Amino acid sequence: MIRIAVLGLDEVGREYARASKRDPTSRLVGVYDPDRARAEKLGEELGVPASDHCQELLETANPEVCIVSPLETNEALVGDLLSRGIHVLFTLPMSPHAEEMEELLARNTTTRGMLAADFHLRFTPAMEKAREWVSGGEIGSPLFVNMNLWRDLPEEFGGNPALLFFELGLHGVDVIRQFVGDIERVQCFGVRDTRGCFTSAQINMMCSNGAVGHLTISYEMVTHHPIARCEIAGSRARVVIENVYEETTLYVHERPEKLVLTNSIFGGIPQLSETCYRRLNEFLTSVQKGDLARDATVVDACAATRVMKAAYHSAERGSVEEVEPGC
Amino acid sequence: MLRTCVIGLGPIGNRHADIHQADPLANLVGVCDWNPERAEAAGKRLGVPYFTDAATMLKTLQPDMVSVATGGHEYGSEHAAATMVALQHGCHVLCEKPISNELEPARKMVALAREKRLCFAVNLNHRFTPACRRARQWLAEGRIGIPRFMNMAMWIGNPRESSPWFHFKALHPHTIDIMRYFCGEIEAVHAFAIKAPGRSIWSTAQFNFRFKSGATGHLTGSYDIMRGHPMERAEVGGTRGRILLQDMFKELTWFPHHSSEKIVITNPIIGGMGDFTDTFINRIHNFFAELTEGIPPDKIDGQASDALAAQSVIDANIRSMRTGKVEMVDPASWTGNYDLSYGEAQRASD
Repeated sequence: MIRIAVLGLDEVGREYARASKRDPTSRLVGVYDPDRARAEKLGEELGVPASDHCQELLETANPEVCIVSPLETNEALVGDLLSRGIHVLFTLPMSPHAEEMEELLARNTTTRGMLAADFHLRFTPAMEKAREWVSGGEIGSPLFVNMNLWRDLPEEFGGNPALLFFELGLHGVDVIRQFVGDIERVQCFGVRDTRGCFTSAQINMMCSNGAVGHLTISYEMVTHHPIARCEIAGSRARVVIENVYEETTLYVHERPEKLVLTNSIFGGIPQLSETCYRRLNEFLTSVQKGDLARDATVVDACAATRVMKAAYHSAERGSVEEVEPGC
Repeated sequence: MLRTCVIGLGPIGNRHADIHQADPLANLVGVCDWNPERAEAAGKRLGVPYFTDAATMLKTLQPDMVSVATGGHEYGSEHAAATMVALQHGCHVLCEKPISNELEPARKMVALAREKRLCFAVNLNHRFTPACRRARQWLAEGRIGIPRFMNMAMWIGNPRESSPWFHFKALHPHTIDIMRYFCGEIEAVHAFAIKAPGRSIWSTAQFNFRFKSGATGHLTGSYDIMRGHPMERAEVGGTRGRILLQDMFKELTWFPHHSSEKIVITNPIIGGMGDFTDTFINRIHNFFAELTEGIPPDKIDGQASDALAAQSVIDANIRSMRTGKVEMVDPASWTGNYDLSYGEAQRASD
C-alpha cells in the first residue's frame, strides 16, 4: 500500500484526497492545509489525520507520495519532497514561471522522487478515443483545433489577475497540445473584472504542426451546464469531444453517418471527479513500476505554462506573442 | 405587388428568380445575364422576358426592385456595376454577398443608395431564421446578461483557388453579420490562417475579435470541410447564461446560470424550416415585405451598410494576416444598427 498525503486542500486537492481514500493500492495517511478548519473538516470526512503544519504532517505521516495543490511556497516544498525521495503529483497552477518548473524538472532527474502534473481532463475514454482517431490518421491532415473550458469563479480566485490562464488555461492548452503538439504563437483578447483580473479570454494559436488552434476560457459560466468542448478537424474528418467525457463523435466529411461514443451509465465515468481518480491511478502505476520516464506530464506542464504566459502577455500588451522554446 | 427583376443568372440568380416567382408580394417581370445562353435558358424556364444588358432591361421593364446575383472575382467583383445601374434606374436592390470583394466599390454602392433614398439590402440569409431571431430576442431580454464572449464556426467545402483571400471575403460576410447581430460592433481583430495541403489559398482560419462592448469573439472558418454534417455554430456566453444556436435553424438552447434546466427549441418537422433554401426564401420575402410596407431605407433589416461593416472586419483580418499583428476595424464602417441593451432596464429593476 502506497502511503499518500495531500498537501493543500483546494477543490482539486480535496478531490484527490477522496480519490486516494478510494484507491485500493494506496492509503491516505494525512491531509494538510494552512487553513486549519478546512484541513480538519476533510480529515474528519475521510477519517485521516489532518494538520495545518506541513512539516509536522510529513514527519508523522511519512508519505511515499504527495499530492501538492497550489500553496504559497510550493516550489520550495516540492523541491524538498523530491530530494527526500517522495513522489509528487502536483495540481494546477504549479507556478506561473516555467523557469521554476524547469528547475524542478531538472532536479527530478537527479532525485529519487518522481514529479508529475495533474492534467486530469486527459484521463477519460472519450479523450483516449479522440487521440486514437487523430494519431491514427482518421482525420487526415490536421486543420484546426478548438477548445472551450469554463466554470464559475473558483474559491481560490482571490484577485489573482492571471489565475484564469495558469489554472483553467493550462488544462485547456494541454488538451489542445495532445492533438496538435507544440504551439508557436498566440494572440489573446481578454475580459477583466472590476479589479482588473481576467475572467474570460479568447486565445488564438498557431501550432507547429501547421494547424491553427483556439482556446476559450472563462470563469463566468456555471458548472451545472456543460463546461468543456473540444473539436479537432482535419482534411478527412472532424472529431468533437463534448463535456470532457460525455460524448466523442467522428464526422467523416464524405460519409453521411457519424460515429459516436457515449459515456455509459454502467462502468463509464460517473462524475468529473472520477478523472482525478483515474489520473491518480495512472500515477501510482508509474510509481509502482519505478518507471520515471513513463509520465512526461511535467514537460507538458512546462510547455503549457509557456503558452499561457505568452497568452497572458498578449492580453496585457495587445500583441501577438511568440511562445518561448520548450525545455 | 412589386415588379421585380434578377440580374445574374448563375445557380444563385436562378434561385432568386424562383423565389421571386413564388412569393405572393412579387411579380418577376424579367431576367438578365451578359451570357445570352444563360439569359435565354432562364427566361424561357421562368416564362419572362430576358435580356443581356441590364440598363436595357431596367429601362424597358421599370421594375421596383432588383436582385443582383452577378458574382465575379471572389464572388463579388461584378456586384457593384449591376447594383449601381439598378440604383441609377431608381430600383431598390437586394445584392448577393459579399456586397463587393473590395471596400471602395462597396462604399460607393452604399453612398449612391443613400443619395437616391433607395432601399439597398444584402443577402445575409443565414440569420433570417426563427431560431436566430429568437436568439437575438433572448439577448435583448437580458437572458444571458452582458455578453462576455462569442464563438462562431462555419465551414463548407469549396475547392476553388481563385484568390488568396477568397475564403475570407466570400464566406465570412455571413458569420461576421451574425456576430455583429448578437454582440454589436467589432473593434479589433487578429487572424491566424493556413493553406490546407494541396491548396494555394488561405482556406482555414481562426479569427479573434474584440467587440466595442468589451466582449471577446472568436470565429473558425474553413473551405476545407465538405457539407453534410453540422456546418455552423454560434454561442454567446454572458454574465447570466449562455445561448447556443446550431446550424442556423436546427436548434437553439439557453443555458441559464440560475438553473440546471436548459431551454431548447428544436426546428419542427411540420411548419418549421425545411432546408437551407428556406433561409433565402425568408430573407428575400422579408425585403419584399419591407418594400411593400414602405419601411425607410435606414430601417430595413440586413441593409448594405451592415454588409459593408462586415466587409470592413474582413479587411482588418486580411491586414492582420499581412502584418502579423492585431488590427483595428475602421470605426467609420460601424452602423450601430445591431446595438442591444441586453436587458439593462430589466436588470436595473432587479
